[in-house]
Amino acid sequence: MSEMPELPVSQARMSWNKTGSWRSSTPGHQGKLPPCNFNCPAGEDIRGYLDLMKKGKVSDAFKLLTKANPLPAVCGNVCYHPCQTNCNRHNFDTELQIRSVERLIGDWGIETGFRPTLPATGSKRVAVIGAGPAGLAAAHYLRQSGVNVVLYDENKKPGGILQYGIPSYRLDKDVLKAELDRVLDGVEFKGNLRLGSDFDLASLAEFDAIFLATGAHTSKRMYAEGEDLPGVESGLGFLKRVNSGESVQFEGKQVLVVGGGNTACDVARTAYRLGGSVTVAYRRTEHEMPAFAEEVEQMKTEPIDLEFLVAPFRLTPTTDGRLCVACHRMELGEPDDDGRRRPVVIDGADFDITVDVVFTAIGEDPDLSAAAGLDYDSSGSLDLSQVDPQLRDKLFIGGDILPQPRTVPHAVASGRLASEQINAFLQGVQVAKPSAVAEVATEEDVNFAYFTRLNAAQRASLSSGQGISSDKAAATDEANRCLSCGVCFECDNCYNFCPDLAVVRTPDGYQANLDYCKGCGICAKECPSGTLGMQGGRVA
Amino acid sequence: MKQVMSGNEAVSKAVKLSRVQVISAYPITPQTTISEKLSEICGSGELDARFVKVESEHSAMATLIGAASTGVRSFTATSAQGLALMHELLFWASGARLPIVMVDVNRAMAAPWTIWCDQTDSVAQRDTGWMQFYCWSNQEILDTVICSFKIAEQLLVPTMICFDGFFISHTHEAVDLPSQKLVDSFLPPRRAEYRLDTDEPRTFSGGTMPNMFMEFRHKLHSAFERAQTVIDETYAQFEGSFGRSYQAVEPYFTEEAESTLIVTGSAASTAFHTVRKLRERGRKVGLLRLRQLRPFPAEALCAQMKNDSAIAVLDRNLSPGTGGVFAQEVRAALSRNDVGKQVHEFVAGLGGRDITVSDIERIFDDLENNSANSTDINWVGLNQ
Repeated sequence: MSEMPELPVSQARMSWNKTGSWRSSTPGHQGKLPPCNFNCPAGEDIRGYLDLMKKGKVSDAFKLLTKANPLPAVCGNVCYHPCQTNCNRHNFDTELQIRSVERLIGDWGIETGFRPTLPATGSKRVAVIGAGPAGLAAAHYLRQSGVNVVLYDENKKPGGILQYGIPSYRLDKDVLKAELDRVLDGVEFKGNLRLGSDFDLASLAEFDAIFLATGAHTSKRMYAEGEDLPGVESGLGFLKRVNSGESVQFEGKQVLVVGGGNTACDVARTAYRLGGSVTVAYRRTEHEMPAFAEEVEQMKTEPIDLEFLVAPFRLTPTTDGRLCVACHRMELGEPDDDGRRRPVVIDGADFDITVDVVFTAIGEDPDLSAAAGLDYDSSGSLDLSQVDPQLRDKLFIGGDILPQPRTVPHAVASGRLASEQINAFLQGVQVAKPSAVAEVATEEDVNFAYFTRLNAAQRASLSSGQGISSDKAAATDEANRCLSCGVCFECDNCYNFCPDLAVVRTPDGYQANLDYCKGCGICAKECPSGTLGMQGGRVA
Repeated sequence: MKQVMSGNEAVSKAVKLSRVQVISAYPITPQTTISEKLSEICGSGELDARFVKVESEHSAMATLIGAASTGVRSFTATSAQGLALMHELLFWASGARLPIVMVDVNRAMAAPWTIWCDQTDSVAQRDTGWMQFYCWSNQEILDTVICSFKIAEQLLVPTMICFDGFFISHTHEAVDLPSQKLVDSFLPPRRAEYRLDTDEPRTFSGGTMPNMFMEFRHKLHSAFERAQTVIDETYAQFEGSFGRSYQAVEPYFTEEAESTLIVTGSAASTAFHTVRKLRERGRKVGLLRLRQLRPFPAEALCAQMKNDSAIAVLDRNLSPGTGGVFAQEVRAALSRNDVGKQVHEFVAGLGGRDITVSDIERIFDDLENNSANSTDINWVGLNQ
């Protein structure tokens, strides 16, 4: 006993005892993607710019955001925000108002007159046909990489659907102009030139590459008798007239909008603003409407009459210059190919309504006739086999011509990816293959104990659809709610909680010292963001 | 320099003067103002210490066990349920020989719910291997906190300083506040022979087989056997520097006393006042103020038992089914030292009830009239 120390402590140093040998599971970075990043069609690093906004670094946030999307103010107003819809805070309190934050970042770019550095151009020249979101993105990123770009569009102004489709109450024209000015800095824009009538692809042979992004503007037909009568117009054509500044008045007029997509919503709400008494007729029910739910909700707050399970089949002029629209009453039958229930005519239930104006908004198709030889094959894929081989090799195609969802962010992504492919083509290199899609971090990955739930009043305020107020502090507050799903934000929890002091900080983030890590899993359990996870076995 | 301060303020000032390095505490009435003041002076930088916020008293003690293992001076304060929540870790602190100092502001144990004073909370921790001091004044609190670090760090035994909730914790008195220089010369920084150090890793308090455990317990017990000498030497040195003296058992008016009351805490000052008054009337009454429960000062107590005085012990605590804990301790000490004396035990003041001058007069009346029960508890002021 006399040789024993006063307190129970080993007399030898214990560094030899590599207790990591007891380990049966090992912590590691799971590499999961935040759902916002995963679901952003434009490929924005949303979590990344929210993290910068937390720190008040708006300028850095703007630069990171515009690496993927040059139109943050536009998308901050009109994007259907799948980032937000899939936010892991959804069940915790309410999803982050990411679109509002994006808009504030975009507004910052406009208010400060930010301009990215314009590199000198080399010898390469690229023609971009179509100045919609896809063409704009392609032109912008190509010019940013030092390529001479000529951007053609059939309209006087650039912007495509942003300029001529989306009504000004959804996207302020000044915001659009400011954003277009920045995006097209250094790009030569040639308006009022329509492919197929004012020039053809062959005339662009001198360019090193051609990007075709003429969109989808041809309204689908109703296949109703009399649909070419005066008083019947495509919804998109109507929006273009209004957006071009034409004075239109519907005071005292009955307006019928046929369709259930986003164009139908825009047309109906625009016609209402021009004084019309508006009815929307859709052949299925609200549940099957292809319009974004948010658009429908907003339309429902206005005195617009929504008639479901109605399909016009014959239009006839009345003696007093109006239109008598004969409609089938429909019911839902078996699901069709896209899973939505098919509308079926109820026999003997037809009825007439009399209106002054009819707008068709049942979808749009691309017009490929202008691009000689280009067509879709029977499976719906693009067939370029008939295009002049000299042009075919340097022809790139994007935007709504492609069989992909017709949204602004999808088009932007398509333009950006095209710019990368064109750059690689011009340099004679292969485009790096995208890495395998990572797993998405879910609610189960997040340790919500480390996050503060909004109170009921705050939740209600955010859920009202108003978004957040337009100041930087509000954006920082909102960004501070970000859970950083799957991505380390250097909270030090793993470092602090490790009972064996086996978590070390390195310039590359936290690492487990496997000599001493016993695999208890506390670091992973206490990781708020689900960055860390445990792998089975004693990984060396 | 004299300052008027509460008992709890005296603690905070003593902790600061002792240059404590790690403090961790969880608020509980009547202790709370101690940790509030300490968090303020840590926050302001007045004291260069880490104040670790925790979610419970259990975590507070666990934090100090970790901190003290690295060789730093550490402190906490608690009361009642908070102390009970630390129970398991009190054994760990003493078994690991960590000289943590803790103040327990005495508060009765619920249920029923109460925030008021009695000593059941601290006496219930008697067997956890902590030294326990009981104070009766704010000056004594300040002095004892400073001395406790010196005593604990010499013996490697954790130390608890107990005083009565509200009666002392929230009562203001003039306290002589020593200079930092004087305290520094009396209490040097802690020097630990073994420190938790990641550069020189050792196993602390690891799994111990039956061939060694008992020996470690013996070493802890031996430290308690040495403790009274260390305590007495430390207080003697303290008197040399600060001019104030304390003894384990302090006798008042014991010359030719025929009735002697043994008492702790704030009731001792009421008893002192009463005894002085009764002496003026010619009654031969005396007072022994007991300052320690562990180590129990058996020797000093027995030295006071040479006359024929009748003995009463006043307990402000209760071990249900047996009686007051100090009475048991006194009986055991006398028996062990073969001092044949009857001990009359009185239980008073539980759950914050006042112990008054007339209560103490009645105890002396009972002793003098031979009407006190010597085989059972004498309940003071119990409503029938």
